[in-house]
Amino acid sequence: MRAVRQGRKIDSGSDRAPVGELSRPVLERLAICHQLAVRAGEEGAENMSSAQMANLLNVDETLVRKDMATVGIAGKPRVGYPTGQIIKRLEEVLGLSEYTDAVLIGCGSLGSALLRYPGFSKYGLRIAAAFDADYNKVNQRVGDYTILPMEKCRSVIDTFAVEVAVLAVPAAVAQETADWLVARGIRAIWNFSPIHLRVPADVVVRNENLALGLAELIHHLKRKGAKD
Amino acid sequence: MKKKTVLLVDDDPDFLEANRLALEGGGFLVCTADTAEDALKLARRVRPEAAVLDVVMDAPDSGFALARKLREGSSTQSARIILLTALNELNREKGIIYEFSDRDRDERWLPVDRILNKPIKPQKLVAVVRELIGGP
Repeated sequence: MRAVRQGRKIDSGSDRAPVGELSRPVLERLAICHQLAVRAGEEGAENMSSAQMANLLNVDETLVRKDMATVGIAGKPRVGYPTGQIIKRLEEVLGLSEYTDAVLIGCGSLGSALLRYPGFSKYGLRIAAAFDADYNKVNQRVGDYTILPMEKCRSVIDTFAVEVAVLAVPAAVAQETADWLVARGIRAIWNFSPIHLRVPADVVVRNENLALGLAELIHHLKRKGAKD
Repeated sequence: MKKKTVLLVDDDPDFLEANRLALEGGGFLVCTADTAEDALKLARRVRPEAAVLDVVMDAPDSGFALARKLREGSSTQSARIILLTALNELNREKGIIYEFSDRDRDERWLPVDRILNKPIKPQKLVAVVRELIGGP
Protein backbone atom coordinates (compact mmCIF):
# COMPACT_ATOMS: atom_id res chain seq x y z
CA MET A 1 0.00 0.00 0.00
CA ARG A 2 1.37 3.38 -0.90
CA ALA A 3 0.58 6.25 1.38
CA VAL A 4 2.80 8.81 -0.31
CA ARG A 5 3.36 9.12 -4.04
CA GLN A 6 6.54 10.77 -5.02
CA GLY A 7 6.55 13.02 -8.04
CA ARG A 8 9.26 12.94 -10.62
CA LYS A 9 10.79 15.86 -12.39
CA ILE A 10 11.34 15.52 -16.10
CA ASP A 11 13.88 17.65 -17.87
CA SER A 12 12.08 19.04 -20.86
CA GLY A 13 15.43 19.57 -22.57
CA SER A 14 14.29 22.87 -24.07
CA ASP A 15 16.91 25.05 -25.68
CA ARG A 16 14.56 27.99 -25.96
CA ALA A 17 14.85 31.17 -23.98
CA PRO A 18 12.52 31.26 -21.00
CA VAL A 19 9.55 33.57 -21.34
CA GLY A 20 8.99 36.37 -18.88
CA GLU A 21 6.19 36.37 -16.35
CA LEU A 22 2.84 35.91 -18.05
CA SER A 23 -0.40 37.47 -16.92
CA ARG A 24 -3.24 35.28 -15.76
CA PRO A 25 -5.42 35.94 -18.86
CA VAL A 26 -2.51 34.99 -21.13
CA LEU A 27 -1.84 31.84 -19.09
CA GLU A 28 -5.50 30.90 -19.27
CA ARG A 29 -5.60 31.40 -23.05
CA LEU A 30 -2.40 29.40 -23.51
CA ALA A 31 -3.76 26.58 -21.33
CA ILE A 32 -6.88 26.44 -23.51
CA CYS A 33 -4.75 26.57 -26.68
CA HIS A 34 -2.83 23.61 -25.33
CA GLN A 35 -6.06 21.68 -24.80
CA LEU A 36 -7.25 22.58 -28.28
CA ALA A 37 -3.95 21.54 -29.82
CA VAL A 38 -3.96 18.21 -28.00
CA ARG A 39 -7.50 17.54 -29.22
CA ALA A 40 -6.60 18.62 -32.76
CA GLY A 41 -3.52 16.40 -32.66
CA GLU A 42 -5.60 13.45 -31.53
CA GLU A 43 -7.89 14.07 -34.49
CA GLY A 44 -4.92 14.07 -36.84
CA ALA A 45 -4.64 17.81 -37.55
CA GLU A 46 -1.03 18.75 -38.28
CA ASN A 47 -1.62 22.50 -38.11
CA MET A 48 -3.94 24.92 -36.39
CA SER A 49 -4.70 28.40 -37.59
CA SER A 50 -4.91 31.43 -35.33
CA ALA A 51 -8.46 31.92 -36.64
CA GLN A 52 -9.48 28.44 -35.45
CA MET A 53 -8.03 29.02 -32.01
CA ALA A 54 -9.47 32.54 -31.78
CA ASN A 55 -12.89 31.21 -32.72
CA LEU A 56 -12.79 28.52 -30.03
CA LEU A 57 -11.38 30.94 -27.46
CA ASN A 58 -13.90 33.60 -28.42
CA VAL A 59 -11.18 36.25 -28.74
CA ASP A 60 -9.70 38.29 -31.55
CA GLU A 61 -7.31 36.49 -33.91
CA THR A 62 -4.57 39.07 -33.34
CA LEU A 63 -4.56 38.22 -29.65
CA VAL A 64 -3.85 34.55 -30.43
CA ARG A 65 -1.03 35.52 -32.78
CA LYS A 66 0.39 37.79 -30.09
CA ASP A 67 0.20 35.00 -27.48
CA MET A 68 1.92 32.56 -29.82
CA ALA A 69 4.66 35.10 -30.55
CA THR A 70 5.12 35.79 -26.84
CA VAL A 71 6.02 32.17 -26.18
CA GLY A 72 8.04 31.81 -29.38
CA ILE A 73 5.71 29.67 -31.48
CA ALA A 74 6.10 30.54 -35.14
CA GLY A 75 3.31 30.07 -37.65
CA LYS A 76 3.22 30.15 -41.43
CA PRO A 77 0.82 32.28 -43.48
CA ARG A 78 -2.17 30.26 -44.77
CA VAL A 79 -0.86 27.14 -43.00
CA GLY A 80 -1.02 28.01 -39.32
CA TYR A 81 0.96 26.72 -36.39
CA PRO A 82 2.28 23.14 -36.29
CA THR A 83 0.12 21.31 -33.74
CA GLY A 84 3.07 19.35 -32.36
CA GLN A 85 5.04 22.55 -31.85
CA ILE A 86 2.15 24.21 -29.99
CA ILE A 87 1.81 21.21 -27.67
CA LYS A 88 5.53 20.87 -27.00
CA ARG A 89 6.20 24.55 -26.44
CA LEU A 90 3.12 25.17 -24.30
CA GLU A 91 3.96 22.16 -22.16
CA GLU A 92 7.36 23.77 -21.55
CA VAL A 93 5.93 27.22 -20.85
CA LEU A 94 3.05 26.00 -18.66
CA GLY A 95 5.27 23.54 -16.83
CA LEU A 96 3.20 20.59 -17.99
CA SER A 97 6.25 18.50 -18.84
CA GLU A 98 7.27 18.52 -15.18
CA TYR A 99 5.41 17.07 -12.23
CA THR A 100 4.84 19.25 -9.21
CA ASP A 101 4.01 17.48 -5.98
CA ALA A 102 1.06 18.71 -3.98
CA VAL A 103 -0.63 17.73 -0.76
CA LEU A 104 -4.40 17.53 -0.62
CA ILE A 105 -5.97 18.62 2.65
CA GLY A 106 -9.54 17.60 3.39
CA CYS A 107 -10.93 14.31 2.11
CA GLY A 108 -14.66 14.97 2.29
CA SER A 109 -16.85 14.55 -0.80
CA LEU A 110 -15.08 17.22 -2.84
CA GLY A 111 -11.56 16.34 -1.72
CA SER A 112 -12.20 12.66 -2.43
CA ALA A 113 -13.54 13.48 -5.89
CA LEU A 114 -10.40 15.52 -6.61
CA LEU A 115 -8.29 12.64 -5.35
CA ARG A 116 -9.99 10.23 -7.74
CA TYR A 117 -9.60 12.54 -10.72
CA PRO A 118 -6.80 11.17 -12.90
CA GLY A 119 -6.46 14.25 -15.11
CA PHE A 120 -4.22 16.43 -12.91
CA SER A 121 -1.08 14.63 -14.04
CA LYS A 122 -1.76 15.84 -17.60
CA TYR A 123 -1.30 19.33 -16.20
CA GLY A 124 1.81 18.55 -14.24
CA LEU A 125 0.22 18.18 -10.83
CA ARG A 126 0.72 15.05 -8.80
CA ILE A 127 -1.00 14.62 -5.45
CA ALA A 128 1.77 13.27 -3.23
CA ALA A 129 -0.46 12.52 -0.27
CA ALA A 130 -3.90 13.30 1.09
CA PHE A 131 -4.72 14.27 4.66
CA ASP A 132 -7.71 14.69 6.90
CA ALA A 133 -8.10 15.77 10.51
CA ASP A 134 -11.05 13.41 10.98
CA TYR A 135 -9.82 10.06 12.27
CA ASN A 136 -12.91 8.35 10.91
CA LYS A 137 -11.43 8.98 7.47
CA VAL A 138 -7.80 8.26 8.30
CA ASN A 139 -6.37 5.07 6.74
CA GLN A 140 -9.35 4.76 4.37
CA ARG A 141 -8.59 4.22 0.71
CA VAL A 142 -9.69 6.78 -1.87
CA GLY A 143 -8.63 5.85 -5.38
CA ASP A 144 -4.92 5.11 -5.23
CA TYR A 145 -4.45 6.90 -1.94
CA THR A 146 -4.56 6.09 1.75
CA ILE A 147 -5.83 9.07 3.73
CA LEU A 148 -3.19 10.15 6.22
CA PRO A 149 -3.75 11.96 9.52
CA MET A 150 -2.96 15.68 9.63
CA GLU A 151 -0.33 14.82 12.24
CA LYS A 152 1.76 13.36 9.37
CA CYS A 153 1.39 16.35 7.07
CA ARG A 154 4.35 18.34 8.32
CA SER A 155 6.89 15.59 7.78
CA VAL A 156 5.52 14.82 4.29
CA ILE A 157 5.77 18.50 3.30
CA ASP A 158 9.33 18.62 4.66
CA THR A 159 10.46 15.29 3.20
CA PHE A 160 9.18 15.91 -0.32
CA ALA A 161 9.74 19.69 -0.27
CA VAL A 162 6.11 20.17 -1.28
CA GLU A 163 5.16 23.74 -2.20
CA VAL A 164 1.62 23.27 -3.49
CA ALA A 165 -1.50 22.45 -1.49
CA VAL A 166 -5.00 21.62 -2.66
CA LEU A 167 -7.34 22.80 0.06
CA ALA A 168 -10.78 21.21 0.41
CA VAL A 169 -11.57 21.66 4.08
CA PRO A 170 -14.74 23.16 5.63
CA ALA A 171 -14.89 26.97 5.53
CA ALA A 172 -14.63 27.22 9.31
CA VAL A 173 -11.09 25.83 9.36
CA ALA A 174 -9.86 26.90 5.90
CA GLN A 175 -8.03 30.09 6.94
CA GLU A 176 -6.25 28.54 9.90
CA THR A 177 -5.26 25.54 7.76
CA ALA A 178 -3.97 27.87 5.05
CA ASP A 179 -2.00 29.88 7.63
CA TRP A 180 -0.41 26.68 8.90
CA LEU A 181 0.41 25.50 5.37
CA VAL A 182 2.04 28.83 4.54
CA ALA A 183 4.07 28.65 7.77
CA ARG A 184 5.21 25.18 6.67
CA GLY A 185 6.53 26.49 3.35
CA ILE A 186 3.59 26.03 0.99
CA ARG A 187 3.81 28.67 -1.76
CA ALA A 188 0.71 27.94 -3.84
CA ILE A 189 -2.79 27.00 -2.68
CA TRP A 190 -5.54 25.73 -4.93
CA ASN A 191 -8.48 26.57 -2.72
CA PHE A 192 -11.75 24.66 -3.02
CA SER A 193 -12.97 25.79 0.40
CA PRO A 194 -15.77 28.33 0.12
CA ILE A 195 -13.94 31.29 1.61
CA HIS A 196 -11.57 33.89 0.24
CA LEU A 197 -8.17 33.14 1.77
CA ARG A 198 -5.83 35.84 3.04
CA VAL A 199 -2.21 34.92 2.40
CA PRO A 200 1.12 36.78 2.20
CA ALA A 201 2.01 38.45 -1.09
CA ASP A 202 4.53 35.77 -2.06
CA VAL A 203 1.91 32.99 -1.87
CA VAL A 204 -0.33 32.30 -4.86
CA VAL A 205 -3.93 31.34 -4.26
CA ARG A 206 -6.38 30.16 -6.85
CA ASN A 207 -9.89 30.23 -5.38
CA GLU A 208 -12.41 27.80 -6.86
CA ASN A 209 -15.55 28.90 -5.15
CA LEU A 210 -18.11 26.42 -6.51
CA ALA A 211 -21.01 28.01 -4.62
CA LEU A 212 -20.17 31.40 -6.11
CA GLY A 213 -19.98 29.93 -9.61
CA LEU A 214 -23.33 28.24 -9.16
CA ALA A 215 -24.91 31.45 -7.79
CA GLU A 216 -23.60 33.29 -10.87
CA LEU A 217 -25.12 30.70 -13.21
CA ILE A 218 -28.50 30.75 -11.45
CA HIS A 219 -28.49 34.55 -11.42
CA HIS A 220 -27.85 34.67 -15.18
CA LEU A 221 -30.51 32.04 -15.85
CA LYS A 222 -33.06 34.01 -13.82
CA ARG A 223 -32.19 37.27 -15.56
CA LYS A 224 -32.44 35.55 -18.93
CA GLY A 225 -35.82 34.04 -17.93
CA ALA A 226 -37.12 37.45 -16.87
CA LYS A 227 -36.10 38.99 -20.23
CA ASP A 228 -37.74 36.17 -22.20
CA MET B 1 12.52 20.16 47.84
CA LYS B 2 9.14 19.93 46.11
CA LYS B 3 8.76 16.85 43.95
CA LYS B 4 8.00 17.34 40.27
CA THR B 5 4.65 16.02 39.11
CA VAL B 6 4.15 13.65 36.19
CA LEU B 7 0.74 12.96 34.74
CA LEU B 8 0.40 9.45 33.31
CA VAL B 9 -2.51 8.89 30.91
CA ASP B 10 -3.36 5.46 29.55
CA ASP B 11 -6.40 3.21 29.38
CA ASP B 12 -4.27 0.19 30.31
CA PRO B 13 -4.28 -0.15 34.14
CA ASP B 14 -1.20 -2.43 34.08
CA PHE B 15 0.78 0.18 32.17
CA LEU B 16 -0.30 2.89 34.61
CA GLU B 17 0.66 0.82 37.62
CA ALA B 18 4.08 -0.32 36.36
CA ASN B 19 5.13 3.14 35.24
CA ARG B 20 3.67 4.89 38.27
CA LEU B 21 5.85 2.71 40.50
CA ALA B 22 8.92 3.35 38.37
CA LEU B 23 8.40 7.12 38.28
CA GLU B 24 7.69 7.30 42.00
CA GLY B 25 10.83 5.23 42.54
CA GLY B 26 12.64 7.84 40.48
CA GLY B 27 11.50 10.54 42.90
CA PHE B 28 8.51 11.99 41.00
CA LEU B 29 5.04 12.64 42.22
CA VAL B 30 2.68 10.76 39.89
CA CYS B 31 -1.00 11.20 39.12
CA THR B 32 -2.87 9.00 36.68
CA ALA B 33 -5.93 9.11 34.44
CA ASP B 34 -7.43 6.52 32.12
CA THR B 35 -9.30 8.86 29.78
CA ALA B 36 -8.32 12.05 27.98
CA GLU B 37 -11.23 13.92 29.56
CA ASP B 38 -10.21 13.02 33.11
CA ALA B 39 -6.58 13.75 32.27
CA LEU B 40 -7.40 17.28 31.15
CA LYS B 41 -9.34 18.04 34.33
CA LEU B 42 -6.53 16.59 36.43
CA ALA B 43 -3.85 18.50 34.55
CA ARG B 44 -5.66 21.80 35.11
CA ARG B 45 -5.76 21.06 38.81
CA VAL B 46 -2.29 19.67 39.49
CA ARG B 47 -0.34 21.54 36.75
CA PRO B 48 2.15 18.73 36.08
CA GLU B 49 5.70 19.41 34.89
CA ALA B 50 5.38 16.47 32.47
CA ALA B 51 2.57 14.46 30.90
CA VAL B 52 2.97 11.00 29.40
CA LEU B 53 0.10 10.32 27.01
CA ASP B 54 -1.11 7.21 25.28
CA VAL B 55 -2.53 7.94 21.81
CA VAL B 56 -5.32 5.43 21.25
CA MET B 57 -7.75 5.54 24.18
CA ASP B 58 -11.46 6.27 23.93
CA ALA B 59 -10.82 7.59 20.40
CA PRO B 60 -8.06 6.68 17.91
CA ASP B 61 -6.51 10.14 18.28
CA SER B 62 -7.23 10.83 21.97
CA GLY B 63 -3.59 11.46 22.83
CA PHE B 64 -3.05 13.83 19.89
CA ALA B 65 -6.13 15.86 20.80
CA LEU B 66 -5.20 15.89 24.48
CA ALA B 67 -1.70 17.16 23.69
CA ARG B 68 -3.20 20.07 21.73
CA LYS B 69 -5.62 20.91 24.55
CA LEU B 70 -2.81 20.86 27.11
CA ARG B 71 -0.81 23.27 24.94
CA GLU B 72 -3.77 25.61 24.57
CA GLY B 73 -4.58 25.86 28.27
CA SER B 74 -2.79 28.59 30.22
CA SER B 75 -2.45 26.36 33.28
CA THR B 76 -1.13 23.35 31.35
CA GLN B 77 0.82 24.73 28.40
CA SER B 78 4.22 24.58 30.08
CA ALA B 79 4.02 20.81 30.72
CA ARG B 80 6.53 18.78 28.73
CA ILE B 81 4.62 16.16 26.76
CA ILE B 82 5.71 12.65 25.89
CA LEU B 83 3.52 10.67 23.50
CA LEU B 84 3.79 6.99 24.02
CA THR B 85 2.13 4.86 21.41
CA ALA B 86 1.68 1.39 20.00
CA LEU B 87 0.21 2.96 16.87
CA ASN B 88 3.30 2.32 14.76
CA GLU B 89 3.24 -1.37 15.55
CA LEU B 90 -0.52 -1.57 14.96
CA ASN B 91 -0.12 0.23 11.62
CA ARG B 92 2.66 -2.12 10.57
CA GLU B 93 0.45 -5.09 11.37
CA LYS B 94 -2.28 -3.58 9.17
CA GLY B 95 0.17 -2.94 6.33
CA ILE B 96 0.01 0.85 6.79
CA ILE B 97 3.46 2.17 6.07
CA TYR B 98 3.61 5.53 7.77
CA GLU B 99 5.00 5.84 11.28
CA PHE B 100 5.04 8.55 13.88
CA SER B 101 8.36 9.79 15.18
CA ASP B 102 9.91 12.93 16.61
CA ARG B 103 10.05 14.27 13.03
CA ASP B 104 6.27 14.72 13.15
CA ARG B 105 6.35 17.15 16.06
CA ASP B 106 4.54 20.30 15.09
CA GLU B 107 3.25 23.22 17.12
CA ARG B 108 -0.20 23.00 15.50
CA TRP B 109 -0.86 19.29 15.06
CA LEU B 110 1.57 17.48 17.35
CA PRO B 111 2.79 19.94 19.99
CA VAL B 112 4.77 17.37 21.96
CA ASP B 113 8.36 17.05 23.13
CA ARG B 114 8.95 13.39 22.41
CA ILE B 115 7.21 10.58 20.53
CA LEU B 116 8.14 7.13 21.78
CA ASN B 117 7.05 3.63 20.83
CA LYS B 118 5.40 1.17 23.14
CA PRO B 119 6.37 -1.10 24.71
CA ILE B 120 8.88 0.90 26.73
CA LYS B 121 10.82 -0.19 29.79
CA PRO B 122 9.74 1.83 32.84
CA GLN B 123 13.41 2.72 33.51
CA LYS B 124 13.69 4.17 30.02
CA LEU B 125 10.54 6.26 30.58
CA VAL B 126 11.96 7.56 33.86
CA ALA B 127 15.16 8.52 32.02
CA VAL B 128 13.26 10.41 29.30
CA VAL B 129 11.13 12.26 31.86
CA ARG B 130 14.27 13.17 33.81
CA GLU B 131 15.91 14.36 30.58
CA LEU B 132 12.96 16.69 29.90
CA ILE B 133 12.18 18.11 33.34
CA GLY B 134 15.27 17.29 35.32
CA GLY B 135 15.52 15.19 38.43
CA PRO B 136 13.34 15.60 41.48
